[in-house]
Amino acid sequence: MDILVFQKLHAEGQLSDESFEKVKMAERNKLFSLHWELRTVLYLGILLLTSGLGILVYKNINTIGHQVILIFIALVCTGSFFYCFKKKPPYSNNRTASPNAFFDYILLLGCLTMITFMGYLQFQYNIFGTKNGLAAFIPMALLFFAAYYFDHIGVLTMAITNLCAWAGIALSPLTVLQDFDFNNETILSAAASIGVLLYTAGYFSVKQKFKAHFQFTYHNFSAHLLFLATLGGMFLYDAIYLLFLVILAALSYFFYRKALKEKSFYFVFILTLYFYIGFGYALVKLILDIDDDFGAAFFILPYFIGSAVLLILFLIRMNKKIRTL
Amino acid sequence: MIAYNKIWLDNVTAQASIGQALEEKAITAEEYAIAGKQYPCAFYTPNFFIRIGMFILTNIVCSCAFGFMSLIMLNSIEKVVSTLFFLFSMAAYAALEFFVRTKHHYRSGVDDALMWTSGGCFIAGIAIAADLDMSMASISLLVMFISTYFTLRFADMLMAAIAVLASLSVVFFTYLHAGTIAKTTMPFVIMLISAIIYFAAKKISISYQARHYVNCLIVIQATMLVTFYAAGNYFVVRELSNGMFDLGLKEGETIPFGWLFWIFTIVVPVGYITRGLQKKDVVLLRVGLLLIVAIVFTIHNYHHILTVETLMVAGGISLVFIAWSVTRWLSVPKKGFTSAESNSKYLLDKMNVESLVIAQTFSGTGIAPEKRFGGGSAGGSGASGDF
Repeated sequence: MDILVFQKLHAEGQLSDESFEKVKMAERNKLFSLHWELRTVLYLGILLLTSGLGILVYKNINTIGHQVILIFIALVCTGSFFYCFKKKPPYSNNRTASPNAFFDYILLLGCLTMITFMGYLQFQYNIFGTKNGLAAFIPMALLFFAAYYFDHIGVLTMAITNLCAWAGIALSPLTVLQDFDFNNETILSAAASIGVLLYTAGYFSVKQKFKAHFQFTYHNFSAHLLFLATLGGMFLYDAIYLLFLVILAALSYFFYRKALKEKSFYFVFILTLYFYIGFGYALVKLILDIDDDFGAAFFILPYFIGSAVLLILFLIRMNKKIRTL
Repeated sequence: MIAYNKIWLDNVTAQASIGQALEEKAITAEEYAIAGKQYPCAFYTPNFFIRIGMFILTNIVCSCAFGFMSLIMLNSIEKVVSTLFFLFSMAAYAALEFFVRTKHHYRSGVDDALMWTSGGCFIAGIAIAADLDMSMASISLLVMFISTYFTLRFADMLMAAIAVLASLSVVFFTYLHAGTIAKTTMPFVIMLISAIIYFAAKKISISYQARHYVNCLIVIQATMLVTFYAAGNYFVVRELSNGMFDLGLKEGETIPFGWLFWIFTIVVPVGYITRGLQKKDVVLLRVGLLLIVAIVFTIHNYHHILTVETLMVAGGISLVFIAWSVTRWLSVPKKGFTSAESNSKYLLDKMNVESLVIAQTFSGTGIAPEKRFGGGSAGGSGASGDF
């Protein structure tokens, strides 16, 4: 805090003596917060520990040592869950405050070691069988349970990515465009169905007041999956790409209404970008179909210049609009 | 020098102070409302998403415009490409000044994109005019001048970091000409200059005149702390001198004064952390913590005491333990330190961001089913029992 600012305000009579004293007091007793440093250290520790354990199991899978490692993983896992069960706040259908900063991370540790453990059991003893993807389904179900039971959005995102993995979709926020397989019909339809499913889940979370704050996470994943599936369909089915453009427009409009209703600029932002990609693709394809010669560039480049400028103006306006809603 | 309205810049800081005071409940809500009106500011600074979006879109506009111009001059492109880069750089700069001064954009994404386009095209123009035949020292000098200008004019943090790195690079490549003596003393010269810039930046950052550049100066400090460490780090010194000065070291062989660099490698980050805690200096502390990773990496690279995975497990356990015990110890603030968050206003946002980080870093942990989709009918319907 800049004390000069308050001095000036105080001198001009806009700040009472009492408040000015309080400000000076707060400034003098200011504490140096190590919160983010400690959190990062903790997070890194858990990241290192769980991935290290994963590699250990993988490397020692055929030696005697692996049982020791397994017992160790099981101990870490049960220890973490024991801690969480002991410390957890009473269950509620609403948001519950986590008892301390440590709790969230220990739960994460427990969930991650659980996944490693199950993966090992499946690999070595095939306990879940080879059919029906049970090996991916059971950890996923447990993760969903943990997310609801302990009220943890991070675990919920893990459960959702596991749900996608179970359906064969590799999904992580940063690599989604590289890893997403646009050329596989089954994956596209799986992505679309999971998108619808997650949307419904989010819808009912709010409607039934059953962990309503999970809605954003559900709808976020849902929106990305649905848009990606539509774009994928557009790229894959050459002959009917215009049909997919219509679907894309409908989807965009749907999320546009939702974004306005919930005053969420984030959704406006992603739908705009997805629609822009799809529309640009369709237009370029259309122009190239008419004339795949050099002349096409004279239409395409100005289109991108103009459309990007318009899009910037659109985003600025939407941001203002949503703020004043 | 700075392109932005200085009074508004001051008002931005004042607003932040007032907001903080309200959060700490030092001032009342009415006082907050009145005080807020005292410090008006009409900058256009949108939220982070728009900034990214506008950055991407402005880049699309710039590259398409450039493509369009080259398309028009396609027949003589080889002759005019350098001029084209210059012209384009000027145009981008004019647009940048327009957006900043008339439209009052301040960190909006548009200004960022135009700044990088303008600087990048200028350098490309000169490099092409010189037939891509420039010494490293002169390229560094060019980069240094341009980024320094942008830093001073637009107070951009990333440009500030580039400016100081480029000046170190100028020193490095110029001093290299001094011959043998340069090769042996290079680490110390770089360390010395880093230290000088660091302390200068620290000193300047408390002066009133430099108040609009506070963030740039913080970035400069952090960058210089890293380069100071890198210049003395055993791995950097050994591999760099081996590669650049043809020492022809074999595996297991060490450099002259190797022990000295080992001391630097380990002592410097510890020193940063200790000093950072003593002085309650966030920059020192965070850089120090970050460099712990560099210590581990350097030692592990030359002495395989433990396998990587054992190291990870052991390191993970100790980090969790350290974080846990320090958090516990500080649950009641001690010696001016606390483990509690300084404000909780953005808790919801943070939770959502945090969950994305978790999804990103841990999404590979799921058991990947091999060739799951035989029929493709399952489609996720099995999960409906959970909701």
